[in-house]
Amino acid sequence: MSGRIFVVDDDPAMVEAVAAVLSLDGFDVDGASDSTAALRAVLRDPPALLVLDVNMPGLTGWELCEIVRRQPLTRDLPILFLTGRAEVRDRITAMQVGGTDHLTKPFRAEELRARVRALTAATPVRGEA
Amino acid sequence: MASDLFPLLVVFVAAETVISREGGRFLLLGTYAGLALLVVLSPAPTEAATRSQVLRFVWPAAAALGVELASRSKSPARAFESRDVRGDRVERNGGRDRDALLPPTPSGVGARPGADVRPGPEALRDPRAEVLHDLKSPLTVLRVYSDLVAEAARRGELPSEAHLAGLAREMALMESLAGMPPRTPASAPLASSPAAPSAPPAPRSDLVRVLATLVESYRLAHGGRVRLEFVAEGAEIPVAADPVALQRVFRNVLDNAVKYTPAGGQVRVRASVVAQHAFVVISDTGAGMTPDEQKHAFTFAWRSPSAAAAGVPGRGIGLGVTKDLLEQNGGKISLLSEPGHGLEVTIMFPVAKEAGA
Repeated sequence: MSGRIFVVDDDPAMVEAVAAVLSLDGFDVDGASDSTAALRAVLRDPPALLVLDVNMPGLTGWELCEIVRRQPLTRDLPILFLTGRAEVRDRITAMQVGGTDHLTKPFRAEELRARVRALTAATPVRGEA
Repeated sequence: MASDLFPLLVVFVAAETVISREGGRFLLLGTYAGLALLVVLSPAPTEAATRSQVLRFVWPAAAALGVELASRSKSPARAFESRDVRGDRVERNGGRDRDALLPPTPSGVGARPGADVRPGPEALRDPRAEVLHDLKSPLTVLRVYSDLVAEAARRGELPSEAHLAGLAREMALMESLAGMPPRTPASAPLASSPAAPSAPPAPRSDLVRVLATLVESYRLAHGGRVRLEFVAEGAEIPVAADPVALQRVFRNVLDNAVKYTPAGGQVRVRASVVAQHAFVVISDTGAGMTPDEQKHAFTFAWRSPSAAAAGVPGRGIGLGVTKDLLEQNGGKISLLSEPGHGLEVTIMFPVAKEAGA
């Protein structure tokens, strides 16, 4: 399995931990702790999957997701929210702003891997018919 | 009769404006239907009879209105129904002109999928929820590295050095947050002898190295929005403080500085030594704090009303934790600010004796 995944979380330790897990499955993982810088990077070079925290200084994950969804190049990009927000309304909001999936912290490494495998497997490679 | 009801109609028309904006059209229709019924069924009214009917009907209706409005103002669903999208968002983010950073919206895409979706400040007021939320990230990191180490063991492999390091770092952070003393290294003897147990070595950190690394990482993450500058007087400033606690302390202060500094602003970090004391001054060009805000800044789970109203994310925990960690490590913190002219945070540590003597 391969592909590039972009992780955005204001806690750099979380970005590192997620990268450590996903690299086991052969993914290249880039990350950022600043959501605005992350937005620029994602729009410049869309990854195979975008992993987003919600509570961040500057743009929240939900806002970033909405912006990404409005751009033609990233309209269909799978987006996984990793957040401590566990309430039903938060999961609904994640879907309403265009999120593809939602995983609540604290999660297990295996669950993250399983969800990422499913999300990236369901994504057609850009340029394929 | 009609003249008696006229002021009430005015009230209900005013209520309509509010209710229809809030989406309560069914309640509104019900209210009008009730009023119409009241008018139709009224027998040749005396003034007293009309007042009695009005009281019988209007007060329950008014109470229902109040309940509906109150529940709507608190309802999470309200977030999904807000129509004031772009202006409200910018205002609630402290007036930052974030739209300048955003790509243009394609024409014809006026309606956003979730409108204003962020929870209001009321969602951040439960201190227990705040603490739990604050702990979820380090707990997740801890759990993830534990899973990776366990998985390697199941495969009969040695765990990765990087995963072990991540586990140890996050464990140390959690222990620092919990106020636990640093653990004795596994390689060190538990005691040199029963009669004379040796004290664990005093922690020691180089402030210059810690700050240089941190500022560089913040520059990478936030340098596109704010300028970050680090100046140190001297190549090394040794202090008797736990390095993990130092990381947390300065990250908390830098997080705030970056968060409250508008785009184009500056965050400066200066480190110096005066009379055997190390001073770190972190100043920003943000909105600053009022005297009242400074007074409460270290109170656990306290947030400034203006920051909460502006929708600035935060849980009011960082500075309280910072102060506790500093006190556990012999340090002190103070704030200096004038509203509108930024905030200056001064952190002081005694210089480590063996090097500072």
